Amino acid sequence: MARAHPSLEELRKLGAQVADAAARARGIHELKFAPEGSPAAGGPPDDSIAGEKYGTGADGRVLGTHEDWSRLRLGYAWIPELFVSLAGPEPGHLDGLIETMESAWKALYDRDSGADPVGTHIRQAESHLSGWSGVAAETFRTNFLHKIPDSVKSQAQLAFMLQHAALADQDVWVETRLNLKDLAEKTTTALESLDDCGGTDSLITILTVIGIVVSVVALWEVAAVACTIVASSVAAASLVADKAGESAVEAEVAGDTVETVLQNMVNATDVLRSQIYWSERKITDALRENLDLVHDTTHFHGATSTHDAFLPPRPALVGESMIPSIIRNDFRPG
Amino acid sequence: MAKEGAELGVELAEMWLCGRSYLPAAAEATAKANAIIAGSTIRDGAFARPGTVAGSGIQGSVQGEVFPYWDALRDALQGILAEAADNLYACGDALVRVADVYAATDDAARDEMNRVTTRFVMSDQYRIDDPTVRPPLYQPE
Repeated sequence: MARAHPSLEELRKLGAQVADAAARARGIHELKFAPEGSPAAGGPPDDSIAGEKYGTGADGRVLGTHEDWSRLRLGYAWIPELFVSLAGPEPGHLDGLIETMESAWKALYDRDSGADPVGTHIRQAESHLSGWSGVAAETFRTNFLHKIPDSVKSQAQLAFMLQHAALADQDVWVETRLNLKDLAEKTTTALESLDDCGGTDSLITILTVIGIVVSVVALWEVAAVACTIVASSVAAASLVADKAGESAVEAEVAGDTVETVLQNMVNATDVLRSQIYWSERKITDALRENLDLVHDTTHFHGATSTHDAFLPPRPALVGESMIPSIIRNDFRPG
Repeated sequence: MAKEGAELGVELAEMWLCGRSYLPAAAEATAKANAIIAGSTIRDGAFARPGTVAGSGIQGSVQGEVFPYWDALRDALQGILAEAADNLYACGDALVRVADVYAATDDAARDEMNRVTTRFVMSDQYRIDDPTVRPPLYQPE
């Protein structure tokens, strides 16, 4: 199940809070608008207001009407959309696919419990066929039956790979959303603290999403097949993991003006975008590697194909034309 | 298997049992995984995210970078499982045919094989496959 993370709507609201804070800071500090809702806003100028040098409109009234603030906010309407555009898929929606792929590898070969339904039936078949000897029998046993238990483990490993690729992608987006939340909150604080001389926490540890995607090679000792598995940090906790690619990037969002703060925020999202790209690239590389492995071991035999490590060739025994020779050679030798 | 008569009949019955019970059971387990994988496609929207629809410049929902490769690997696995299950069913059927064809050439073997296979069918120990009632196998679309 996906870790707790902000929803798309929450991120949109956090983005809107940043936009509001920017508009408010711009109005108060740069345009000298009376804060919306204050007694002065939209009212007639008087001495005290004039003394604070609030802006006045063409009609001589103090700026800060609802329309003034709406116009100012409109200039920052891009901010919520920026947060939404980086939010990615809803991480919780990937839970279903993750669970489905886990069901698939458990149905084939359960690495946790050791349950091996296909392999068990094949071994039982082999024991019942022990009295059958001859060329067809040996070919059937060596080229087909003996290969099935390992091929099933390789099939299960592909399902395991699919599960963990989805899990890793889910972690990327959970982490991304948490980073976006942190970025929005710290940007809002930075905008609200433009007059303060330091003291606010405006340093953001941007995105360790690359670090959470780790490569785990050869998780299973499966004959002849070593798929590259991408695992999330959560899933890989008990596994041998190479976290050499882990890196944390820090960014400062504080600034002297509204535009400086927002520019720092945008710079941080650029770093985030780059981190997302490389994290997903790492996942796609592992998927592609496994896809190549499947394709490289695919051989076509007439209308049928075999993926040697994943699917032993269809035995000649299946062809009707083989039956007479099987009977001649295996049942009545000599 | 240079045997004959009742002794051969027992061997052929064992072959029949593999073809009607063990290999179909292995095929069924593989078919189950095939169906699970095939059924996962209804959840593909999980990868969807806000983005620019390729070639249109329009903001909408896109599947992202990971999905195409994830989908391709899933298709490959689904195809492998469908073929693996089909091979197991086909091999089971072939073993039954070999046993039947050979039993027809030796009356004593045939009688013994029929006696033993009837015992297998009546026993609770074995699940005997009905070739007319097999799960569907799903090739990737």
